[in-house]
Amino acid sequence: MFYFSLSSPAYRQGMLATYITVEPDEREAVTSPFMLNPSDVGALRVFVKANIPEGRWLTYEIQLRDAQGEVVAAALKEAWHESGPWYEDGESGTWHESDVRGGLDVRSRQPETVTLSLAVLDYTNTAGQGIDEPISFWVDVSNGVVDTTYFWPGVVGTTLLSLLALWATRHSGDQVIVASVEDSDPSDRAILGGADSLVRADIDIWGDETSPQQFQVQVNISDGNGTVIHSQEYPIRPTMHKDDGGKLERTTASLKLFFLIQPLSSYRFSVEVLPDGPIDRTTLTVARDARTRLPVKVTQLKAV
Amino acid sequence: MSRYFALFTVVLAFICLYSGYAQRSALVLRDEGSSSGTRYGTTSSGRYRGGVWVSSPTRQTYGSFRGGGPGAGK
Repeated sequence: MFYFSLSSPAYRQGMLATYITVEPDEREAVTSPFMLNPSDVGALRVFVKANIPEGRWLTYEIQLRDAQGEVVAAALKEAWHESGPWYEDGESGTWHESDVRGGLDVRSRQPETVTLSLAVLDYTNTAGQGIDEPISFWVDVSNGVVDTTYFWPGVVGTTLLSLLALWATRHSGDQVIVASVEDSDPSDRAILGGADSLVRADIDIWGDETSPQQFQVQVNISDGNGTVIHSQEYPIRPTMHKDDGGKLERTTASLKLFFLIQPLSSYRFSVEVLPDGPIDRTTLTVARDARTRLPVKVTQLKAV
Repeated sequence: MSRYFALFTVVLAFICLYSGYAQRSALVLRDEGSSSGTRYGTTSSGRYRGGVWVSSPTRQTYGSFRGGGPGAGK
């Protein structure tokens, strides 16, 4: 939708849309004059399509001439239209290919009357022998044309950067605890907390094929004196990874918790997953000064 | 980090929109520093020197295009 609104003819103003023919003895044809006005949006786009039969090579030049007939801009197009047979692995057929379109985007700093002229420099068959035939060109000149070349690179670039921004938000903050054990009970101590420092705890769990439908994750936070200031059990349902036969191979589960802990001090985070039998690995990551994209549920804690 | 990525995103979007609408790649008449403005495999056949269009030497000695189909070069 957005693409169509960008390339929409809101600013586009057709100046000329016609067929012109270049006779073999003249080698050149000129259109009627049109105005090229300065504008902040878009440019004058000259679009030319050569209508040549199969087996022809054509070199033509698009020229813009000012009111005195002097060339003020020119561009060259090597156009071709060919066909032929192909054979491959016992199969065969014919191919047709052509490249006959040419174009030029022009802007001007002052109002100017210009004419478009098409010059045929070279017109041959595929053997390189000159051909004397009239050539018909479709010419379309529009003003205020927006260059959509930047659109798709822009879409891809901004999408990637947006995803990076989302990813960075999920992993924002300073990681103060990264504890990974091949067991069910990681724990570590770090300096964190404060009134305006959001603490994010990420717990990732990998379980084997004997995992139950639900794990109980016990999270304890204790202050510098060893006093437990937070002790809660969080039930989580793991994601079941099954093999082709539908048999459970392994499970993964993750839990994300947010805390505001006062004051800034040393705190110990300890996690224990129950039942611990099926647990292959548990990772605890704690970050301070974390940020979130959407509002989240935050547990307020105060050490005495 | 997030804020920098968000900032880059906005800057890139602005550059793309500006380039498209302002037609930064268009040829500006009588401007020696402008882009060629050519499209669809068209090539520029000259340039400005002192505000006057001068055809390139390849334009003047032209006549050797050998076609571009799949058979080219075989």
